[in-house]
Amino acid sequence: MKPPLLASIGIAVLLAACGGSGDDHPAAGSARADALQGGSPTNDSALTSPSRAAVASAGVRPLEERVARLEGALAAIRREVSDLQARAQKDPHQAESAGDPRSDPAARAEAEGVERTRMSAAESAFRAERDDPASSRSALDSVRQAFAGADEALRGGVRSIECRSSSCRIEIGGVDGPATGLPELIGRLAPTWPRVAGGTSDLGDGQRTTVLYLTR
Amino acid sequence: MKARFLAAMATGALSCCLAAGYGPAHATTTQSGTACAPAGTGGYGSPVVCPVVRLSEVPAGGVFGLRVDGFNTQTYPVTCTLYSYSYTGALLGAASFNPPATPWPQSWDAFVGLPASQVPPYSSQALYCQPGSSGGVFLFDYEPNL
Repeated sequence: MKPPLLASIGIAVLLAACGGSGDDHPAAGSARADALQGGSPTNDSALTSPSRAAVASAGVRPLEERVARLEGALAAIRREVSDLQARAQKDPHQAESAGDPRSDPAARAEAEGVERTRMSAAESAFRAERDDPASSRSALDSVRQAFAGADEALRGGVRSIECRSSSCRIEIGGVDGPATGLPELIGRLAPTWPRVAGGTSDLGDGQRTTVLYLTR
Repeated sequence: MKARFLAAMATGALSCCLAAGYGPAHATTTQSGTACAPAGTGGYGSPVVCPVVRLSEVPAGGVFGLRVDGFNTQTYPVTCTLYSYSYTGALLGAASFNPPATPWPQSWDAFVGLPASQVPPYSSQALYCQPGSSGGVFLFDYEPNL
């Protein structure tokens, strides 16, 4: 889409430039045309041949300069359009993918940094919470109860469950993506734990683990 | 067959509620419950999944939420959850609510929201309502707050 758009803009710029700037008042243009064609009948007699040539020369020079500038601008636009066409042929989605973490490495790195910060904040909040043994045990029981009826693979993947007074942290291996028993587990937890913050972390050995922070 | 039955009921529920005299705010829907589909086997006891379209990015510190209107077919409890997944498919967050377990003609209207940190650009959201046991749930509208 961009090359045709740029070309249109370029043509519009050229037409605007050719259409005239402030000194291209119709009357002035007409007078200049008259001068170039030999002057108006009223003062033709006052102009000798050398002075007529001087007027013609003075009128043509600015036009030549303007044409040169326009040619330069046109050449630059042609180069830009050509570059964009070449790029679009190489990767049709590249123009639209800037800032998309799915295809732009810089955007992906930024998104991963934001995600790490978010998970780090959730971890800090959990660790900072008061640990009351009685309420922690009750919280842990409710989570274990929800796991009891959960998907077999999900239960087998549990690495740790920790609870504080009003939040729990669950670490599960091998469950990444929506097509797991995770949504069902979250549904089971919902009556007691309606809010879940989740994320994944890389264990460094190619294994990924899902961490859930449950809050009431 | 059951799946088709549930889908048909979702459509029927919308016209039913409009005919029942709900106000203009209810009639001006951006995402009606007809977009939802039964998951799994369909039929009673099966969850309903609704795709969510975000109309704009969530400002930092804000909340992305849905106002959900529906009703239950029986007195079985229902759990509705708004999920958010990253562009890689990793779970970012979930928020649930349990609408009142009173059947039609008692309808419910609930709000469920997720913080902006769990709804970043390029993330996807879905609403998932699970009726308990052999219950059923009708969703006739869910409106994003942004």
